This record gives sequence, structure tokens and C-alpha cells, in this order.
Amino acid sequence: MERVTLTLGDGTAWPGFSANGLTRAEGEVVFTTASCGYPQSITDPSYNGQVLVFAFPLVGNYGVDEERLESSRPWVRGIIANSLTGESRLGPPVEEWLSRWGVPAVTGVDTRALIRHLREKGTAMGRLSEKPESPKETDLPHDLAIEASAPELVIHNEGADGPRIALLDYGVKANIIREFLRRGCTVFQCPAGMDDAEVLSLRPDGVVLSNGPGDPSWLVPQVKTVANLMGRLPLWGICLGLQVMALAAGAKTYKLPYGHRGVNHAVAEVEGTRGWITSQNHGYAADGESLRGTGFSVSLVHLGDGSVEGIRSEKHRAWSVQFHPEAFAGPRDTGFLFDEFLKELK
Amino acid sequence: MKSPTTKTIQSVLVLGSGPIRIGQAAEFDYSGSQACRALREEGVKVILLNSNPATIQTDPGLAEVTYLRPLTPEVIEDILKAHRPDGVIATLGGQTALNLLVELHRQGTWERYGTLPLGTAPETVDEAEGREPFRDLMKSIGEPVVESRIVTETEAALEFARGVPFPLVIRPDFTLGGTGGGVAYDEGSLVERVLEGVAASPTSRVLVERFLSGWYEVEMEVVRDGFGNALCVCGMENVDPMGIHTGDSVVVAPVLTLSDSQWQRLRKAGLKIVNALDIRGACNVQFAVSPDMEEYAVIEVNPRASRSSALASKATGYPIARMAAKIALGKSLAEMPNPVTGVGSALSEPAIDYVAVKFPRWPFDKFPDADPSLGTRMKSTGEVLALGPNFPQALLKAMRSVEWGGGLRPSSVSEMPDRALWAEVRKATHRRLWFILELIRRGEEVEALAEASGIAPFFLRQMKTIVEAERALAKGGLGDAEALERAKWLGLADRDIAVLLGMQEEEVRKVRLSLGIEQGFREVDGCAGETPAGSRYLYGSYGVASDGSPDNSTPAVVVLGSGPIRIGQGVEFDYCCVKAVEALKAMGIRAVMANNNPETVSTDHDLSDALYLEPLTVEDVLPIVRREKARGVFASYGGQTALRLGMELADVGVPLLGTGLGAIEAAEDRGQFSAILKDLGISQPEGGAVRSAEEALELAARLGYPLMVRPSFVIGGLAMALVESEPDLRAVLALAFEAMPGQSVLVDRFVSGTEYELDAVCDGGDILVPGIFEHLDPAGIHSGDSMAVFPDLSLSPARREEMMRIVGSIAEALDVKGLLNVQFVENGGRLYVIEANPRASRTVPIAGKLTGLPLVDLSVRVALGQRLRNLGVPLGLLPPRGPLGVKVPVFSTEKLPGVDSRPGPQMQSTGESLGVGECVSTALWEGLRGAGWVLPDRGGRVLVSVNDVSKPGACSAAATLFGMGWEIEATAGTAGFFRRWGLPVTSVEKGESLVSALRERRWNLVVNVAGSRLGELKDGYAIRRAAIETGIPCVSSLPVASALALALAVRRGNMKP
Repeated sequence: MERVTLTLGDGTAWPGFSANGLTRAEGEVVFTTASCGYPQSITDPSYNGQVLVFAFPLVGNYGVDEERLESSRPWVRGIIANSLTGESRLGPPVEEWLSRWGVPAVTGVDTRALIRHLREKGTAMGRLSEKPESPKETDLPHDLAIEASAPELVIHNEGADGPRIALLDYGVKANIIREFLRRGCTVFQCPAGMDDAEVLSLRPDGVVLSNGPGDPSWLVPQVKTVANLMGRLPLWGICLGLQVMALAAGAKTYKLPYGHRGVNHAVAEVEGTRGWITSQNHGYAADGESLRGTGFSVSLVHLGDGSVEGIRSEKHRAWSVQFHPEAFAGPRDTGFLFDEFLKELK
Repeated sequence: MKSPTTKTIQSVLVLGSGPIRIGQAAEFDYSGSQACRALREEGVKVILLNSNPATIQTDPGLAEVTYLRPLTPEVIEDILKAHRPDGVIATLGGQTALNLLVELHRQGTWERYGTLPLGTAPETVDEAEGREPFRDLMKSIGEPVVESRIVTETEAALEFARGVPFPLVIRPDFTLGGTGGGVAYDEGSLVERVLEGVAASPTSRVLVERFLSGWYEVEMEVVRDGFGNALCVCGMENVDPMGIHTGDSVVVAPVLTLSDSQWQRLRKAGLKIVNALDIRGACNVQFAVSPDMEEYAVIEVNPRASRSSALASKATGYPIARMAAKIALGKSLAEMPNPVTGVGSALSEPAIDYVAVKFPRWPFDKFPDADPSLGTRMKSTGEVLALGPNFPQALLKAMRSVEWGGGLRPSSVSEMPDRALWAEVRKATHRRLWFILELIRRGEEVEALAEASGIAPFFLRQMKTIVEAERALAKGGLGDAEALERAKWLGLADRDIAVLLGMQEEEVRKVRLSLGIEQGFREVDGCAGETPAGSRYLYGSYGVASDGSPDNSTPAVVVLGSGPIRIGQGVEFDYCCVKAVEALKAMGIRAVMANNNPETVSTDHDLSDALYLEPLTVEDVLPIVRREKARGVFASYGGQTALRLGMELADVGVPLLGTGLGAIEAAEDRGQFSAILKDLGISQPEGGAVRSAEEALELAARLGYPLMVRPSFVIGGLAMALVESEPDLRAVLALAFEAMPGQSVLVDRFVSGTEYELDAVCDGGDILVPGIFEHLDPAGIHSGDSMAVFPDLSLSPARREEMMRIVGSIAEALDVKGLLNVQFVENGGRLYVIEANPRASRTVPIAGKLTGLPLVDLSVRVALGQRLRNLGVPLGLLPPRGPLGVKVPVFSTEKLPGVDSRPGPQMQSTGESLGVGECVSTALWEGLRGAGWVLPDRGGRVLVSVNDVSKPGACSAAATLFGMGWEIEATAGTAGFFRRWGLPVTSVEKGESLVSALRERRWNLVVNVAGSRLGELKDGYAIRRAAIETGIPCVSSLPVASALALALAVRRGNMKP
């Protein structure tokens, strides 16, 4: 196997081997602690621009289950694992599948040591290459979400009896769409560039702001669109959608030191006694303090670091969650939120 | 939903699990003691009931009030009367405690005393454990179950079988470890299994269920609070297929082969079930998963802490029992801090970044007659856990932790013909993974092995990488650094590599270290490295960087653990290890624990300053000693495992603290020990040491029979035997030399009589002996299997002084600094020493508890240089004071078809109970009840069948029973003798009719003292086996029969008419 080194912006080098012959990539290096669901992770558009490190040492234990992916292609720029097991029970081996898209799959890295480093030094840009080479870029391009969004309007399940959902696509995961379709909705998957008038012309019963990659503050026109829609019909945001909603309300967002990526994150109600295990994948968060005076309040918090996990405004008929109720990968404990949103629509 | 506890709970009764037996081992000492600590942390007064003296849980200090009494409704009622506790927690004491919870709930006892069942409610237990209510509930929430029917007799089972294809599984209601269960392949075996199952079930009901051949088994541990918050602590995948009891399966965590959708589907179902049951605490859910993993069915739910929850706790670091105890008090998971990392929430699901492999330990080395094939009845006595960054490394660490001997490729396996290997793999015997590896070496395909074994191809392909690494190494030799690195990464031990390359282990180690191939140590943090944890719970692995280094600025000592629970090495050694850790901490010394048993208290990382979950071998432990800069190791608390490891560590320069290497070697080598006794003028059974069969036969000719044959290096009398003839002698020697070729074997004249034993703390000058145990069973029965009274009943003051003199001179000769156990036999006015072990023994916890003397603590202090006279304890032999105790062994032979329970020099018991009382009668009665003996208070019916020499004694015991209104029945010879004394007796014919009468529970008690001639043995075997399987108390030695009759008479006499 060919040798590959991951070089981080701070100059540290992490040697490994390429499992698919591909050795070159550059991106933001992040890690997930989930022990399965790698096919869903690598096809999650929220990973656009990133090199994904798996904390769980065995990756590839059942191949790529192609009929259950979150999009039709990988969005990660590379994956780094401790061992790739090369299994193919449910589809092609992950390294082989990634090679079709030119994405390197690196194995043999001491991923725990790498993750400890990322946890201490924070998320960093990194470069994969045969010999150690510092990353060329210091930041990611600002159009990651636009790139991951549908280029034009896609209508799913047109003419169904259920509610009409305008889904503002910043890089939506397929399972968000599937969850609405399962519930009999018509889903209008709107490109990230659509403005409020265009959205309203679809006569939606409610608007959903999707997940997606990158910094929400890059999405200036999208934030404006949401600000214009707010209060006119029920809005629901997921992940990046929460951050966009917070910005639209006039609050601030910030970058987490190394993000939340995993399927074990506990969140709890600010008022009440309930908590849930959630699937998470985000590097930015809404600043709870800055929500003051916007009409929004923090409804859910992360039980690990106290960061904002849910916001809500009765006045604006809008609420959001920072985690992924659609799961894939991860627990389905909060799937009921889709029903809650749909209940508000009529 | 029922609302969470509202009443303020100030005092709680905690029910323990009683003696260790197959299906209920040390895991409940772990969960129970953790719960007691958690409750006290919350300011709750804990009242504890547990009859098992060898536990940490019953140690003073864990509960406010501890009752070492039988776990019976009567005893519980006594306690409720005396203490009126606000609540009771019964979900952390195994099935025993759970059954009591339900029983006393049905009787309205809890309500009567205002004691609230805390945590999961009795109604929930009924719903989860009663097969029919559970099936109805599953149906109502849309969860699939396996087609099945509850039956109480064979006709209904046969009718069910007409609608469902064979094979069928038979599972009795409410039993431990699937006792009496099994698979039926046709109508004949169905009838047989159903009859057995009905007999084993306390409700006389069994479930007949479709056997999902080729399906896999996945289980999960869920914790839920009274607010509805729940998390899945850990998913676990059985490497073995459905049909092999999960307790006997190799289990891996987390789930490795399922995709996210397949796993999340199960996880969702698990949470739904736990919600529907309204579990408040821990719950285990087991699923069957179809070969394509797209279909599943719920197999069963255990609404309590279990072996699996202990495993999940150790695999993730998440203390399930502790959380369950707090939930029982009404706390919410969302409000409690993360118990592993200290930051964040207890609701966060553990994430792990390693593979955990559990491997069972079976007692088949003790029971050569037992059937070693695995099925729905659990046969293992204990287990080990190993962590590693990949499956092969974790698996191989686990396989060497079970101490099965012979390494990865014993000659017994490599010499087996293909056909035999395939047969063993198909039958799923306990060594199947060794056989599978061998078949892979011989070039067999993974697909064929998967077909034959039912093991998923993923695991077999992973195992294949081990064989590939072996091949590469065999080809390249140690010169091939890459191959060596790869072999170590995949878990091959230095010892295995040495065997592979025909070298010494030490050479391999030298080359490896010169190449810089060493273990790194990682912390178990429950979060896959996401946040710092500081748990100081570590595992080693090759090919990884360490998570930083320990703060070794203060002195440290490594305590060597005892490994998996097995016959002869039970929870008592874990008790001693934990007490040693506590003593070290109290002295301000860093206590580092090394052990691999996930069930135990010693592997609770909260207790030690650092816990290493590692195999107990030199290769794995030496780096720990170096890394922690330890002053030395304690090898005397973890039984024979620790002692052997300590000796090997001493050989490579690690200091043994306390008693030195020379003394241990002298005591372990029976030939050498015998010479020392001779020098000291101490009597011992006449005999000699031999190193070959020829020498032994020569010696036997000189000594005459019967002989006691004892190899050196034994655990619990393994391969030790009482032989009466030359052919027997030959057979035993063959076993001994197979266990350890070339070892010295002691052949002694067998001295009959009464046995005594004592535990001493020696400091090189002074000696403290808390008292002397007197065995009720005669010499020839292993001390671990013998009932024993403490302090002794029959010794004269002069005799006691003589024993103290002997102990003193042995201690001096061996220079013992710490604990010393000495066993004596008294015969014809003479005292013989049979054994002396300079280490903690099985009886240390008992002597300590009965006298209140902290024996382990004292021995630790002495080992580190303190003098007994400065420690404020009495010296010499303690005069009898306080209560009397009777230790009663508990056997699990009912779980092992084919095994004879006739006690002998080979230890067979798995655990023990302790009866405590002001007199022997009470203590014996309590001890027997604690061990699960059910005897009528008033009259009963006894069957007596004894050999000739025992007839007079048996007659007098029977007469005592007769005087209390018992009906006496006896086999022909015995009955004839009784009649001569005028004792009214009914004759019973030996053979089939007797056995079937036993099965119908005609008698309340069986007294069977067998002769040793083959015919007598055979008759006796049928009687004993039938008694065991039906649970009828069976006494097999005369002194015990007499003691029992006496105790019953005294009890009867004291009872109000």
C-alpha cells in the first residue's frame, strides 16, 4: 500500500497508507465518534470540504449500503481510519466506492492520537499527500453550501394530499426528504439561491431550513430570505438551518473548538425534565446570549458543553434544532419532531 | 406513566444475590457494592442482605447494617420488622433478588411494612419475565417475537411442534443461566427436554420456541430513568450464533457487523420495549437477527443489572449499577454528571474507540466427564474481557486471559485430524475458536467455516488475518520487523511467537524491544477520545501512542488479580485484591490493579488509583510495573493465577512484596515443602515426590493404597485425586503430566480423619491467627467443598497450641511476611500438615468477617514492613469470641449434565454461603438455607443409602430424624442394618424405580455415602445425579449427615409447638 501523510496546518504529520491508491486531498480535518454509519457520513453534504477522521478504529465492516445513502456521491474530501476492513456484505468496500469519486481512503493512522491532537488544538486544515506537505489553503471556500445545494428546484411527490413543504436546500441530507415523504408531504427542494418571493410562490404550508456545510455567516442572501419569511408561515430549521435562523433573527453564531460529530450527544429541555440522545454533525453553533431580544429563546441545550441545541419563537412561528432528528447515521429518538412540525402546519 | 418516586427515601434494603453459581457469579458483587456506595453517597442508610461471605458487598463499611443471612422471605420479613426501611432495591442482586421482590410483592409483604420497591416495579418484572405477559406486551407495541408456546406437560409441546418446524428450543420459566433448557431436534428429544425443563422451573412451566437456526444474537444494555429519559449504554454482538447461551458466547462490543440502519432499528426497538415496560434502572434486551440482518425478533428482556450490564459497564466505563441505584431514588439521567468523564451528562451515550471481547471460562478441566458442547444451558463459571484497537488483538488477549493453557496452537490441536476439528466446530465445543484457527491454517475457506460454526464471515475473515500474520512471521522470522510488528498489532503474544519460531519467549521479547515494538496505554473514557476523562482505567495495545503518562511521582504497588472466576478460584480472591487496594490507598501508596475479569469489584475503576484491564501474563503486566514505576507487585491476593504470574515476574526482576519468591517456590513445590517439614520435625502423610509414572508406581508399592496424589502447581486441587488401585493411579498421573509435563507430583499415603485449617498473618516475628476452621466433611474431600465450622469445636487447648507452634515454625522457615494458610488432618491422636500456602486463601474473608479483623489490610502493612505489635491487634491465636459460622459450599453441577457430584479431592463447588449463629445448629441451618437447601421444619421423608462402614453412623443420624417424626426409607443393605436396631424403615429398591421416585421428589433429603468400588459408585452416581437435577438436598458424608440431624433436632426442639 502506498504511504500517505496527513499534514496539519500546525506542521504535525500523521503517517498512514492509502487503501485505494489515492493520496492527495486537502480540507478541514474533523472527527466523528460514531462506530457505524460511515456510508451515511461520507455522503452527508454537511461534510463538504472536510477530511473525516473516524474515532472508531474499524471502518468498512459491511461495505457501502448504496440504497441508503444521504446523497448520491461522497462529499468528504478524504477519510482517515485506523483500519479499513474492506468488507462488502451490503455493497462495495468503502475505499473502492470512494475511489470512483477520486476520494482517498487512508488507513493505518493512530486516529486516537490524531483526535486527541484535534481536540486540544482545535479543528485544522490538513493536506493528504505522499510526502508531508503543508496545506495550501488556510480557510475553506465560502460556497460550500451553494455547491452542495440542488442546482434547481426539485419537486418530490408532487400532488400528494399532505402538507406542502418548501425545503431550503443548503446541502440537505436525503433522509430529511425521505422523512417528509413518508408522512405524505410534497417536498419542494429549493436551491440555496431562491429568494422569499420564489419560495412563497410555491404555496408552501411550511418552510424547512436544511442542514449543510460551512460557516452560516457566509450565507448572507440565504439569511435575508429566511428573515423575510419569518412570521409568515411556520419555519423549522435543522443543524445549519438553526444557525441561519438565528442569524436571520439578528443573533450571532460562532465556531466550536472541534465541533460535535457523533451519534451519542445528549440534549435536554431548558424547561422540563426530558432529554434525548441525538445524532450531530456541526462545527458552528448559535450564541445563546445574542438571542436575547430577538423574540427567540433557547429551548434545548447540549448536556456536554451547554451549547445551544434548540431555539424557538412563538411570535415568529419558528423553531430549530441543532441536531439531526432524521438520524442516518445515528439514533432515531427525536424522529417525532417531524410529526411535531407537521402538526403546526394546519 | 407511573410518576417517579415521590416519597423521601432515607433507608433502603438492598438484596444481594447469594452464593456464586453458574449463571450468577461475581457480577452481582460488583453491581451490588457499587449500588451500596452510590446510595450512601446520596445520604441513604443502606441495610444489606446477602448470604455470600466472600463478597466486598458484605464487608463492614459498605452498608450501615449488613445481614449475612439466607436470602429467604422469612429473613427479609425479620429485617423489615426490625428496620422498617423506606424502600427496597432488588434489581441489582441478580435473579435471586428479583424473584424475592416478586414473591414478597405477591404476598403483600412490602406493602405491609411500608417498604416501597424502588427502581423497576414488581409488576414490570412480572411483565418482562413471565413469558406470556411479555409476549402480549410485545404484540401490543408491534415488536416481533419468536413463535412459541408455554407448556406444563409434554402433550401440549408435541401439539405445538406439529405447527412449527423442528428444531425447537426449550426454556424454563424464571431460571438462572437457562438451567434445564435445550434444543430438541425431534419428538423424542422434545419430550425429554420438556420434562427436564418443567422440573427445573420454579413455576413448572417451560417455553417451547422455534429455534432460529443460522440467526445471530445481538443484545443491548439500556438505562432509563423515571422521567422517560433513556440511553443505550452499549450494543453487544455475540460472535456465536443463536442457540449458544449468551453467557457461553464470545461477545464483542460495540456491534461490529451491522449497518447503521440495521443497528438503529434494534436500538429503537430496545428503547421502545424499555419504555413500554416502564423500566427505572438497568435493562438488558436480547434480539435474534436474521442471517441477512434485515429481520429481527425479541428473545428476552432482563429488567435488572446482569452479567451483561457488568460487561457493558467495563466495556465502556459507564457504571450502570451506580446510575440504576440513583435512578431508583428518583434522580434523572439528565441532571446527573457523566460518571466516566466527570464533565457533561450521564445521559450521553458512551462512544468507544476500541473493540471489547468477552470470552467465557468453562469448568471442563475440572469435569472431564461433562459434555463440553455449548447450547442453551450456560456452562461457564466466569469470563474475561480484553480491549484492543482491532478484533484480532482483543480476541487473542481474551483467549490468553482465560488461562486455558497450551497457548494459541497447543499440540493437542495441531495434531488433530481435519475431520475431528470439523466435528468440534460443528458441535460448538468450548475450544472451537482454537479449532477454527487451526482449520484456517490448514487452508479451509471462511465460507465453509461460517456454515459449520454459524459464526458470521466477518469474524472469521478477521481471524484469518491472524493466521496470515503467523505465516508471514514464520517465513520472515524475527528479522522481518514489519511482520513482527503486524503480528503484535494483531495480538499474537510473545509466547505464541516463540512457539511458532521454536524459540524462547525471552528471546522474542528481547528482539521485539530492540526494535522498539512496545505497548502503548490508552484510557477508557466513554467518549472515544472526544473529551479528557481522567478515569485511570487503561488498556494496552501495540502500535499506538499512549494517552500521556501516569503521575508516578509517588510510590506505587501493582496488585495482581485472579482472572476469570472458576472452580477453585472464586470471588474470594477478588475480595482480597480489593481489600489490598484499599489498604494501599489508606497507606498513601498508589494502588494499581491488574486484572481481566469484567464481573468483579476489582475492575471497578473507581476503586484503585489506576486499573489496567490486561491479560495476566508477564508480557502484559511487566510494562505496567515499569510504566507506573511500581516498587513491586502483590502476588498473594489473586489466588494461584497471581502467584504463578508473580513468580514469573520475579524471574525477570520485579520485586515480590511480602513473602519472597524462595518461600513461594518452596511451598508450591511439594517435594521441597515436604523436605522442609521433615527438617522441622512436623508430621506429614508419608510419601514422596515423583517426576514420572514409573517412580510413582514404585513408591505406591512401598506405601500401599489408598493414596493421595497431588501435583504441584494446582488450582483448587486440579488433577488431585484419592486413588485406591494401580489403574486409578496410572490414570491420574497421565492427567497430571498432561497439565504440566515433568512437574513434581506428590504421592502420599492417604490419612483419614478430621481436617482443620487456619489463616495466619505473619510478620517475621509475631503471628496472628483469628481462629481455626474445623471441617465437617472428612479428609479426602477438598477443603473448598467441605462444610466447615469456625471457630473449631473439637480441638483441645494443647492441640491448638501445637498447631500454633507448627504455624510458627513454617512461617519462620519460609520467612512469611503476610498471609499463610495451613491445613491439618488429625488422625489417631496425631496432627499431620497436609498443605501450607503463603497467600490469601478462600477462608480469609470468612475469618475476617466473623472476627472483625482486617486480615488483608494487616497483611499488606506487614508486607510493607510494619509490625503486627504496632498495629493495635491481638497476637497469637484469638480466643473464640463472637458468633459462630458455618461455611456451606454451593455446587452448580445441576448445570453440567453427566457430572457426578460425589465430593472428592478435586474441588467442584462454585461458591459458598455462610451461616452465622450463636450455636452450631443455628449457624448450620442458616448456612444451608443460604446455600439454597430447602428442608422441612417438621417431619419429612429421607432416603438413606450408605456403604458398610457408614451404616452405624447413618443409623444414629436416621434415628435422630425418626425422633422428630421423619419417615425413614433406605436401600436394601442399609435398611437391613437399621431394622436390626429396631428403626422403622421402608426398603427401596435400587435402580430405575428409585431414580424416577427421586424425579417425582418423593424424598426431602437424601443421604448417600458411597463406597468406592465401581458398582457402588455407579449406583451412587444415579442417585446423586437425580437428586441434583431435582434440587433435593443430598448429603454425601457421614459427619455432615450427623451434624444435619442434630441441627434439625435442636431447631425442632426450640420451635414453639
